[in-house]
Amino acid sequence: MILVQDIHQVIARREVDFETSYREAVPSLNADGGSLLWFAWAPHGGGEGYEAITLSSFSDTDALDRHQERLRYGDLGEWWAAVEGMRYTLHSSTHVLETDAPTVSEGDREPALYRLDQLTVSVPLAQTRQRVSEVVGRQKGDEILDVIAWWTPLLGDFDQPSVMVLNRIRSDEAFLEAFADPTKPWDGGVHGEFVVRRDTRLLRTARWSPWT
Amino acid sequence: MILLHQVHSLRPGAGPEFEEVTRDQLLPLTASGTSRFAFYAVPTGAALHQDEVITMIALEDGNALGRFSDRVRGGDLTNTVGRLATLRTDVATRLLKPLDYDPSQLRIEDIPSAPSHKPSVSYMHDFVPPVIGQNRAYVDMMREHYMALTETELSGVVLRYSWETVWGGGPVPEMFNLSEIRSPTALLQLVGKEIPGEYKQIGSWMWDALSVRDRWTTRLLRSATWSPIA
Repeated sequence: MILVQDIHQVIARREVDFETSYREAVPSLNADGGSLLWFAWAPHGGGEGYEAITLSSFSDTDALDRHQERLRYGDLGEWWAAVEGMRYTLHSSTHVLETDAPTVSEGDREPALYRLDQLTVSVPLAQTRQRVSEVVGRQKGDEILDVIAWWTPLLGDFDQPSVMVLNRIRSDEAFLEAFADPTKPWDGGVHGEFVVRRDTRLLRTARWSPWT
Repeated sequence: MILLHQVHSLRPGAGPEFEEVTRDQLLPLTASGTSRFAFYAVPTGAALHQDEVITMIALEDGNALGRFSDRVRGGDLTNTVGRLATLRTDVATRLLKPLDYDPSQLRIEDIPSAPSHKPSVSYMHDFVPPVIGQNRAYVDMMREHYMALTETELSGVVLRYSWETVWGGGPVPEMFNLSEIRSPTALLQLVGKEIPGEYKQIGSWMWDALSVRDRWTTRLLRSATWSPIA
């Protein structure tokens, strides 16, 4: 499955409009092999101000190509132009989802906290995939960070040597415990000597975010 | 007071040695009547960059800055800072001065000259570039509005220090806040729960303050247990 990861730096006073635009566009975005999977904010006090992260899936690169044309000259062009007017910057990148297709559903649910890790690695893609799989396979199920998905660059070793890992923070209680003793390292997630740099984002999902 | 503020990006696995050299060599060498190693902080599990260290060295005035420079460039600090440089991949160096509403009003003599022994404290460390042309308006709004908010209104997060970069000391203008997280519950409320819509309406602090700043970067840090100020 192809995954497009978008990092939006939103104009603060358009925050609510921006989220509403995405939520209302879900039916149009979920078409022709594409789907909006996830919408989350970097919460105030936890990272970049007014940064939103969206994840969109596509069945293959043909579906991605068609979606790009819908945004440029097609039925989504007007919506896309409006959204562009609500943000300062967008960094958009394409990846291959290395885990099972996520379960999505309609309707609201309580927002949840996640940590999205960008790991810069020192080994080629094939070894990265093997090592991440091994680490994730060893999870005990009671760590603070619960790996729910990970993805690698569409162009593999031709691109930056990195892997993105989406961790769910297991519970409010786990978060409180982590900050009750801030000297204690967070357990769970993906670690190893092959990771040479770790950049993270603390994120809170919108209550309508489809991925459950 | 001039604060030498540095964000160090460390080489993989270099964290323990970087901390040891800073605590056992740089800190005692820096201590004098006009300079002190003040602050050492590392990322919490929720920070943006997991391989960073934030340090601050307090210098009394321009003379102290000059003397510190001489010692670093060709004196008794040269070897120590050279050792630290081999342990990192990058560093961002800034010179800061306190803003007039800075709650700490820190003085050199208030900073212990030896490592402390106290619990680690969690902080929000904000890096704030004001809206272009709104630098002084930002300072006025922080002084007159933010500082008047109660701890309850601030969700249990208490501003301890406020500085700005000075000319010749990094990106200008840029503002820095270091706020203590008084309880994990307060932090969870802030980051884990949606902010009610009424907090974002015209006339609210959140809305009005956007006229002077609408972008920032927050690092969730914790002080080292030996950090002189925490």
